[in-house]
Amino acid sequence: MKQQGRALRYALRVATAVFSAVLLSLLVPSSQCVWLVLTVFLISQTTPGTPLRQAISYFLVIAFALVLAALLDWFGHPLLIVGIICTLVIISAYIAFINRPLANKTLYHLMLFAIVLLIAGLTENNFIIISEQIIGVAWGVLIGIFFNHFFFPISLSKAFGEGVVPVLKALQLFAIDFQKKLEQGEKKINLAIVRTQIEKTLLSQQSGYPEWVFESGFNPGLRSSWRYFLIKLERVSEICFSLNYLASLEINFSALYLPLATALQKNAELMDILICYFENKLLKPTDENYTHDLDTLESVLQQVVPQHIEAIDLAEEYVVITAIVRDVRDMRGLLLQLVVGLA
Amino acid sequence: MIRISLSARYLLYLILVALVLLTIYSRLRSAEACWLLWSGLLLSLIIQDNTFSERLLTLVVTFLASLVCVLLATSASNFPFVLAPLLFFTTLACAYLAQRYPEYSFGLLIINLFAILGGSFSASTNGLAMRLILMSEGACVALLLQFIFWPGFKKSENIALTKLALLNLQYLSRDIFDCFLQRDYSDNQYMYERRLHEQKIKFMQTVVRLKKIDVHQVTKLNRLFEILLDCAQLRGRVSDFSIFQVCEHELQMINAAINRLLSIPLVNDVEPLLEAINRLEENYQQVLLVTAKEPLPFILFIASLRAFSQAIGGLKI
Repeated sequence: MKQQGRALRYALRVATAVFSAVLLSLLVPSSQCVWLVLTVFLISQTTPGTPLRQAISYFLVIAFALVLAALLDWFGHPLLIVGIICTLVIISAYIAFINRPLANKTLYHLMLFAIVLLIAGLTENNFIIISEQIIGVAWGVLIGIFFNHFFFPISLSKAFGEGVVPVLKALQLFAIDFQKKLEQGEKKINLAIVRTQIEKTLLSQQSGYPEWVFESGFNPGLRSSWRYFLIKLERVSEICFSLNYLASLEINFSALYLPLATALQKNAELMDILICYFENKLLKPTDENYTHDLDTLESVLQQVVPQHIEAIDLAEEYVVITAIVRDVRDMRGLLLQLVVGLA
Repeated sequence: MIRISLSARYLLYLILVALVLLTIYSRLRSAEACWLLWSGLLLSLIIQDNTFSERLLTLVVTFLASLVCVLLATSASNFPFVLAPLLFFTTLACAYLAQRYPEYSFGLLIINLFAILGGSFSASTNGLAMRLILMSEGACVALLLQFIFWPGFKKSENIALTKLALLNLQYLSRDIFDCFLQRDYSDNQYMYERRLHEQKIKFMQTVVRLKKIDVHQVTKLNRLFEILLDCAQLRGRVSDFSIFQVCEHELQMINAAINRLLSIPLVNDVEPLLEAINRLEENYQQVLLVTAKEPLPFILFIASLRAFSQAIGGLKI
């Protein structure tokens, strides 16, 4: 539901910006109209991290494409111009293709440049009207920024919370599923389904994962704490992937099942505290002891594997068991850091 | 090498589309000729989908929706108070669907773009008819030339995506080892972690697409990904990063060996990697065990590297 709500808010913002741009274009010269509406539409596509910075870079890309189109118009034969534009579009599309999946803003700008050049180069464009067109683009940027900031504006903290909750829930589900399988004493532990869930939520667009926090130029007041949170959260997810691999190895570590299950349950509880904080802005008070279960786990581990460190790699089984316990311990450490950070 | 073979067909397709469109364009005398190029070139940029029929369907649907949008928007272009609500609802639908189904976002962007262009450039009835005909011609060129991809579509997509996933893994491994080997890691942690994040996301995006074509291959690639992430845990388990300088040479050897193993064409010769691991293990026994504050993470790291060398042995393209 939240995802649908977020998508609808975004769509309403873009649509209203375009609606207003069409009406406002009545007030400007006809050569500006198309660029005003088009720029508003493109500016509305910016991510929440650095909307102003992105709007300025979009302006520069569009203005550059317009100037280039006017230059081509001034220099050459119409068919030659079209040939050059087609070549530039092919080059841009090819570069974007070989770098797929597109995660890089530079590549997005390249595609934007190609599309704008394709439109500018094939419509009326010369040095007489270029200043008017660039003014149209500038108006478009201002209107786009206005709508981004004042119409269904994105609250950064809300967007951040909404973005991390699905990941936290997927990680919690992983911990709970692993715990249940240990409690049931399953010999071959398969966590593929819950692993896929983590993968899905990490893929930014679908779950709204706030990777815009990493954008250079993001709010200096917020970035260090939010980046800290995301980095720790990603490390927890890495541990889950690592655990999925280790648990799938057919190694008998049944002696550790119960203490491991208890530790995973506590990890899931810590994740619940984080989820509760982001959903309700409430930090659940807790009297739980989050070290005792790990001490128990370590003592059981010492009974199972050789106590001397040099002897651990004598058998693959020992290494895998030690790695699983270490992963669970690391996960606890990271989660405690996150909870303490919120407090 | 990998990049050329991965996209040779697509480059050929783009060049052919442009050449055919240019040939038709050069014979046209209509003011609406630009719609031929817009339609043909923009539709040729749509490259997703897992089967040939799915791709054709996406192209046809995108084209038909664009055609309807241009028809309506051009008809309303002289009436701003009709055009504004029309573009409002078109944009609303496209933006909403793009958020819900990101895999079709580019197609939806094209539909939206055509609606805006149609509304921005008015035309007479004849002009509108010509515009729609030229759009259809452009779309036909983009659609018919898609048959370049037809022979062995699934297989070539499978190979291309597997190579891409391996390339992503190569970059991921490079970025993981950068965390160990670059001395400014602890000062610029955000920068290095962001790089890791980007590579992980790129790999997962590639694998999600590949999963629809070849689940078996995805299982193997995911295993390599998980083992690499298991290796990456070392950066969080070591408190004193200067310890990596003690085994810098061995880590560089391992990094180079993994890079070679993940590069195309795939060489399943794990000997250099095993040799590098053995060198690290010797270093561990002689130096790290005594000097490192936490020697245990190195044992786990070495075990993960050995698991990686076993897992990559079974990979084929």
